[in-house]
Amino acid sequence: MPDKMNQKISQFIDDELPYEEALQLLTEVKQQPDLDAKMRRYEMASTILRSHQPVSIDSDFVDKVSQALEQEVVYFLLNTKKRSKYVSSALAVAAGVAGVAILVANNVPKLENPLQERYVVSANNPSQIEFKETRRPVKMVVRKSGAIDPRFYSYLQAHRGNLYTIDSGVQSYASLAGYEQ
Amino acid sequence: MSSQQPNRTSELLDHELVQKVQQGDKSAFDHLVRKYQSKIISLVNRYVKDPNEAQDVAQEAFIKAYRALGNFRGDSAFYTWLYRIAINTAKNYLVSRARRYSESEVDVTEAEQVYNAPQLKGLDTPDQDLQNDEIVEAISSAMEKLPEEMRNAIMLREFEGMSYEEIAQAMECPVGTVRSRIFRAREAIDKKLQPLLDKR
Repeated sequence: MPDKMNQKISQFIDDELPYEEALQLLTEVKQQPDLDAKMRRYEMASTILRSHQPVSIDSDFVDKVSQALEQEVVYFLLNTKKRSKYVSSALAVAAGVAGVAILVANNVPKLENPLQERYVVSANNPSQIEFKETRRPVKMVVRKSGAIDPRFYSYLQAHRGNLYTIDSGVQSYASLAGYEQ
Repeated sequence: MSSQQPNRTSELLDHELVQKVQQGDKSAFDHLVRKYQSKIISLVNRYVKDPNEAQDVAQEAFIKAYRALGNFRGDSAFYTWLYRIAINTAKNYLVSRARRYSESEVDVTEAEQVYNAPQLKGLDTPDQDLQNDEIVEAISSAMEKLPEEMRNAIMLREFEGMSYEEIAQAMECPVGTVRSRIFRAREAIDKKLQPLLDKR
C-alpha cells in the first residue's frame, strides 16, 4: 500500500487534507478495504491516545448504515420539499421587510449641513480642485393670503440695521423676520 | 494553505456532502458516516459503556440524522448537529435500557441519572477488558519508543489539538516535516496495533 495514501489518511483524520483531495480519498477508501481498515486503525489509535478507551469499529459499519437506509429515500425527498417551501416563505418575508425599510428610508428627511463644503473642479483645469464654502439659501416664506402691508414693509426696511440682542443671538430683526427682498 | 484553516476545510467538505445527500446522492452519506463513525461511536460509548452496543446506537443515530437531513439548514456545523443527535439517541437508549434492567417500575426521567447508575457501568466482559488493556499498553509502548521529534509532533496534535501550522511554529520546522512526522508516528503505532486487532 503506497505510503502516499496512508499519509493522506493521516492528514484527513487531522482535518488537514485539502477539500478536493479529501473527497477523492473518501471515494478511494470506500473502494479499497485495506485503506478503510487503515483509516479505522489510525482513528482508533487517536481515540486511545486521547481517552485511553479503545473503541472498535466493525469493518462493515458503513455498509450496515447504508443497508438500513435503503428504504429511506422517499421519506427523505418528502422532507426536502418541506424545506424548499420553508425557504420560499422566508425569502418572501425578507423581501417584504426590505421593501418597508426602503420606504421608511426614503421618507426620513435628510439632515444636511447648511455650511456644506463643496469642491469645484474647474472645466479648464481639471487637476485644480477649488474648495468653496457655500451657505444654503434661506427659503422665503410668503403667505399666499396677500401681499405684505406696505406700512409693515417700510417699517422692516427702516429697522433692518437695528440689532436686537435677545438671549445670545445677535442678528437684525429684519433678517430674522424674513421678508420679500 | 489548508493547514491554516483546518476546520474550514472539514466544514467545506461536510457542506458539499450534505448538499449532495439533499439532492439525492445517497453515497455521499456513506462518506459522512465513514468520516464521523469513529467520533460518534466513541461519543456514544461514553454514555453506553459497551463497545458493541455503542455501534448499534451510533448506527441508529446516523439513521436518524439521515432522516432529518432534509431539514438541516446548515445553521450550525454538520458535526455539531450530528453530535446532538448522537447524544440524544444515546440518552434515549439508556432510558430504555434502564427500563429493561429494572425489575420494578422505576421512574427515571433524566438520562443523566441512568448514566450514573452503578449497575450499568463496566459492561465489558473480562476478556474484552484484557484485550482493551493490551491495546492501550501496546499504543503506550509504541509512543515511548518513538523518536523524540515524532513523539512531540503527535502529542501536540493529539493532546493539545494543535494544527500542523501551529505545530510547525512550535517545533520550528516546515509544515511538511510535521505532516511527515505525525504520519510516521501513526505508522509506528499501527504496526503494534494491527496484530492485536487481527487476533480479535
